[in-house]
Amino acid sequence: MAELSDIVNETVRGEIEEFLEDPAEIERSINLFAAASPEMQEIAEAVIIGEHEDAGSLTEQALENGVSALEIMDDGLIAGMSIVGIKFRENFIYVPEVLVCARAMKAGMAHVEPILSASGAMKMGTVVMGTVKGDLHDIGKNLCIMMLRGAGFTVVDLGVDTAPEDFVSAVKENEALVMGMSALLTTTMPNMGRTIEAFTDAGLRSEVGIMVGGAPVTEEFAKTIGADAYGKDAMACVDTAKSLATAQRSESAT
Amino acid sequence: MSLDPDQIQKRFDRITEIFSGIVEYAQTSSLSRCPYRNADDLCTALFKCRNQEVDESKPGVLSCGHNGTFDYRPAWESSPRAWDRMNQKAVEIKKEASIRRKNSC
Repeated sequence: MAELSDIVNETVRGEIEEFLEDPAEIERSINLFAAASPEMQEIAEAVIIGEHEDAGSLTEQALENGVSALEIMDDGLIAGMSIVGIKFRENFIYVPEVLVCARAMKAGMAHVEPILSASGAMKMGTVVMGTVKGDLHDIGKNLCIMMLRGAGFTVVDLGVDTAPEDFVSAVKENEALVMGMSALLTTTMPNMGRTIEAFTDAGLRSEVGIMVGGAPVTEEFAKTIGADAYGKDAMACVDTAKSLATAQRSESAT
Repeated sequence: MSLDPDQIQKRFDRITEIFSGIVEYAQTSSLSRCPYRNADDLCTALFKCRNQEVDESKPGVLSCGHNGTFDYRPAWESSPRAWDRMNQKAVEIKKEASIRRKNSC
């Protein structure tokens, strides 16, 4: 069995020592990081501390040095994110920090993804996501985006307060199969309906699967406004996007 | 070198597993702590909130002044009357758009 001192990266060592309490998780993490190269430990460190620029450049460098995409995922990006998950579960960090770390992981994945695509995997498609016009709440949307990217989707994030025409342009420009809208305020929910109508006006309604979500949104409301699907939460979002993308693909094939 | 798609899928399944755990815990932790409040008790929301406090020593930074013992969910729950009004509005938007499109043909 490896020892904590076998991990050369001081930050990673410190993270395990300070934040991990479950003996099985400590052992698993020590074994994983001790076997990882210093280069991979550095990538994991960048993810753990949420340094997206470092995560991106270190991943790029590792690929140039001939490290395989799978090794970078296993020993760098995923290994780092698993420590983030534990710290969050143990209340050492909170949702805003997790999202910063997820952004760092995404920065690394951006360099790995072209290699994965070339291997025939990663055919999930593009999803455009945004919070509707007038609404500035973004945590739910950001968690959905994190889940979608984690599942292999390419996500175009339009941010908050998104006008209907911006959703339409983004879907058109990115040839997105799926579009997701979120709203947290009852007062902004009608803007979901306005956005769907904008797609019909642009002649694009049948070109994209539309899913809606957010705390006050219900399945009944989704039907009323003519959305294709309602996502109850960020977990449901991935399955919903998968089925909408499949439906869109088969529709365009016929 | 070409990679085995199954091996790639295994990695995405692992990422999904980690993220699912995070999302699940985010839902639980939101019952007692605002999800926009970070580890330094600063507010990361892009909107105004009654619990935001200005710290004179840190210009431009808003801290969360709540005692941290609240259920965030009621803030998300809308009154049945407000919901009915909004639903009615959504029906009107759809109807108006349909009439507008009909007239423009």
